[in-house]
Amino acid sequence: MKKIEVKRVSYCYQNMCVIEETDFSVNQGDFTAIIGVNGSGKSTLMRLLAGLMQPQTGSVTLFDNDGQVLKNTAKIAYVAQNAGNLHSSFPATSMEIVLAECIGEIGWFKRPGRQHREMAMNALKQVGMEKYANTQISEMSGGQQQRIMLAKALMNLPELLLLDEPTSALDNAFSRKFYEILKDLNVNQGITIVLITHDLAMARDYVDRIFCLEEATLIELDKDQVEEELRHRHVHHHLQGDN
Amino acid sequence: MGNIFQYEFMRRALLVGMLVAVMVPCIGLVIVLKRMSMIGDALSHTSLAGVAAGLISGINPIASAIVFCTASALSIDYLRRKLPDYAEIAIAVMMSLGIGLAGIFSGFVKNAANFNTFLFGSIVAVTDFELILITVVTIIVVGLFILLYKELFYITFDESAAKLSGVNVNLVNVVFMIMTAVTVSVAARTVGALIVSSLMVLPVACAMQIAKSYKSTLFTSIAFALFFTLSGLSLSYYLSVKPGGAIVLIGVATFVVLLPIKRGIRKTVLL
Repeated sequence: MKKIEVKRVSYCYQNMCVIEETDFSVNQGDFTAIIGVNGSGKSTLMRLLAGLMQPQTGSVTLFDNDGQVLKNTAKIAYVAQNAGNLHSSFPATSMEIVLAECIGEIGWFKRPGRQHREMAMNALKQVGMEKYANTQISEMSGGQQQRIMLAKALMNLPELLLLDEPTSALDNAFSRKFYEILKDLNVNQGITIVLITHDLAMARDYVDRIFCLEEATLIELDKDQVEEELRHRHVHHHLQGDN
Repeated sequence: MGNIFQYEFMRRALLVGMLVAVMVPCIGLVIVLKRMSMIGDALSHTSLAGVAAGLISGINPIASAIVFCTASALSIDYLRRKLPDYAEIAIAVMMSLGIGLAGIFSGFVKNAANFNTFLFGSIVAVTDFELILITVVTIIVVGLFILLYKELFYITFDESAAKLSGVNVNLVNVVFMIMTAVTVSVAARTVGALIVSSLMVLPVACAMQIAKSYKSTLFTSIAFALFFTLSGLSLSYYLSVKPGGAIVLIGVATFVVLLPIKRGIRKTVLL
């Protein structure tokens, strides 16, 4: 059953098209990675999937777990690259930030109740950050902040998780831990995940499908192509090291 | 010199000061965290243009300041959305417009002394009408802030995520800009147009040095604003200095004292 269907989508900035006449679909329960060089349009594609931008041509359709067109945006969780006001000393605790996500469910003029606090604490537990519920987020490391942003995304028990470079601030060991959390969410809770990454080796180890956005077109890579690309990167890395 | 509470005008000044000290940090918190601190300056200068226009045309100067400030605030919001990467340009453009209009209009004001009271405020000469106006505006602004607390928090933290979660970001932003405009207009009358943005930023800046959460930053900001205002008024009474200036200088001194404390805490944590 399809979760995301992208049909003949194009998006251009002035004279440069980053996505052109692209077709792409993600099935329910897929764990998908999108790779591509900087500036290739990966973040634009993610914002189109999240509904934060509208395609200039074509259509993006999301489906709920019953196969109906998804209208409840609370079921989509999107974590942007450098999400939130984290660059500054934003004075908010992890709990306050995770709780913010229940805003759609609560509605205007009401306050989060005890059940929302329990949901937030559960979300923090899922990413192993429950001890930091009352810690100010600006005092945390980049990796801890990204786990808090993931907990915030999990607050509303989403069906679809869209992550834009979620491990960019993490070292290899923490990156692996983060992918393990994502894999667990994907396998045990059935959450469909699409993420953008530069870490092809990590993607190979954890995700089901890998797409490459190149020259405004999205191409799915099979296992051999992934290994070939990894070998190419390995050689390139060594050549750079030798120089 | 007698007790500060023995005079009616001082009791009234303290009451007005407390109302402003509760209202202004609510707006200031969001403004500072959105990195739009200059908006207080832009709007207070526009409020001066409104005051001058009111004094020329015979309309209540606070009412005309509210109209001018609201138009300016909504224009900043519009320009900010049109030029999202250059929000500070929108603020600078409207500030220039406010200064320009205030400069030209002030030349036509017959009673220059009256106009000057708006520059540095007249907290000790607040009329009955102004007291009622400030009370009503404080109740409305603080009430709206409480009602929109979680929406404002989310938009301040991450506007895109707030939009995706179903928050009507444009509506909340417009309501907040109107709240800001009204707050600046009223506070400019009391503490002075040249000082209002300081009172918007300083309590929040001080609170951010010690508070651990958004909620505690809000309450600590209000506590600091109350401290600055009440101690500034007392200082002005006993030392015969302008109240607006005393309030802001106490704020700056407090910030200077608090800054190394936070750095010390951070250093200890990192070590």
